Amino acid sequence: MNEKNFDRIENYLDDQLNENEILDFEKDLMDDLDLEMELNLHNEINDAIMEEDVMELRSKLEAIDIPTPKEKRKVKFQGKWRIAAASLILFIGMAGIYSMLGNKTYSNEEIFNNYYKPYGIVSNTRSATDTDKVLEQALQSYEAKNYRAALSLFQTILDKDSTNLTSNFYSGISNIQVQEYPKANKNFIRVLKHKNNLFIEQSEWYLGICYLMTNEREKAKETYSAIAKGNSFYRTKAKEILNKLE
Amino acid sequence: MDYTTEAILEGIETSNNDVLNYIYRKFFPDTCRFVENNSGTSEDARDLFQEAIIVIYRKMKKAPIVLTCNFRTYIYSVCRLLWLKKLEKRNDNLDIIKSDVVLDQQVDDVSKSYEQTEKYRLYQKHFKQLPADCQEIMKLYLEKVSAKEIAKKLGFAGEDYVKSRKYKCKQTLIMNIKSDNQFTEV
Repeated sequence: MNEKNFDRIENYLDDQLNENEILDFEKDLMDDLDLEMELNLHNEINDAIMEEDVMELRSKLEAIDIPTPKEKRKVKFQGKWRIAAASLILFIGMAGIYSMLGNKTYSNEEIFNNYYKPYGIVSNTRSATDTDKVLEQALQSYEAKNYRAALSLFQTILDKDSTNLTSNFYSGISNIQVQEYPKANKNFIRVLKHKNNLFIEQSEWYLGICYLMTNEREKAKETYSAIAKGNSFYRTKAKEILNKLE
Repeated sequence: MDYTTEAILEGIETSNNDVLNYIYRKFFPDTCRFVENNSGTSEDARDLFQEAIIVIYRKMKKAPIVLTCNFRTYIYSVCRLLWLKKLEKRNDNLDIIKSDVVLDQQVDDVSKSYEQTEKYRLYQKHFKQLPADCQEIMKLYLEKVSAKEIAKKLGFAGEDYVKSRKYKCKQTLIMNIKSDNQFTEV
């Protein structure tokens, strides 16, 4: 599918074509089976996206507990992760108290505590291929805040394909969560090197966080300055961080 | 506590957690045994059972279901039919269940709904893997919210950014769907 036809289909479905363009498009549809199939695909995908009720039902069905050996193993790990989570909360709490008692300059940790939160995700579909299944399990562990388990699953995928964008991005966040900032940094740089993907803006934002936590304030400033000049969702927050860094 | 057939159907329609749990507890073991005895695994059975419930849900969205059998027989028949279709695709061991199946007329029309369920499951899987802002922008676009309003609502710089982001999100979604091995199967 060429870009022109992609645009035409999207504009047709979004009611963005004028009368003549609609006539031309519908005429082409009569003669071009590929175009018709592509329009059907776009249409079906739009329908599927709007099926929030089905997605919700699927997600409820996914959550129903049918004990399998795999799930039993998961239960054993939970206690360990609870301790890790409690330690993290304690660490954040201590950092908060420290910042309240300390002077008014903004430390890297203070900025981190005010602006960092892990990227949200909803993953609830069951997949057929092995890689998909591992990715799905990894995302589920991520969603359940089992960041170390998630990291090891993402790593399985990255061992086969080090450029896998989703695995790199969520590994990056997971590495931040377990305070492995240089590793997180590498993950985000891999996503950014790819240049054409949907995680660029998010990766820039989190890369800045990594620079803060490895005490590379100049690099953090450069990163947030670039974000502040752009149009992304993070630009306002990037401006705020820049003010605090300067 | 036991539910009547009508209460079970209503529970599926309203995604009632108690009813859904009851359905799994009460009826899943039959399906699991059946799939495991016919070239499948317990994972296949779990997938199949989930899809069967969604197929029933979709069917009820179109028109109310009035059953002349109990729910156990009904869901078992739906699962059998869906498993048969799966095996047909795999070209695998059809004789085993063909000779055994007496399909109720009531489950005959689930095939179409199942094809849609399979396709949409693939599309929704990739949609859910997009960044959260992409999901939000695409949904709002389909709700006919203007790019200007979307920019305001989600805190983006302006409508041009929203338009280009939506374009890129949709392009990536379609590319991911097409490169999924399952795409040619559905």
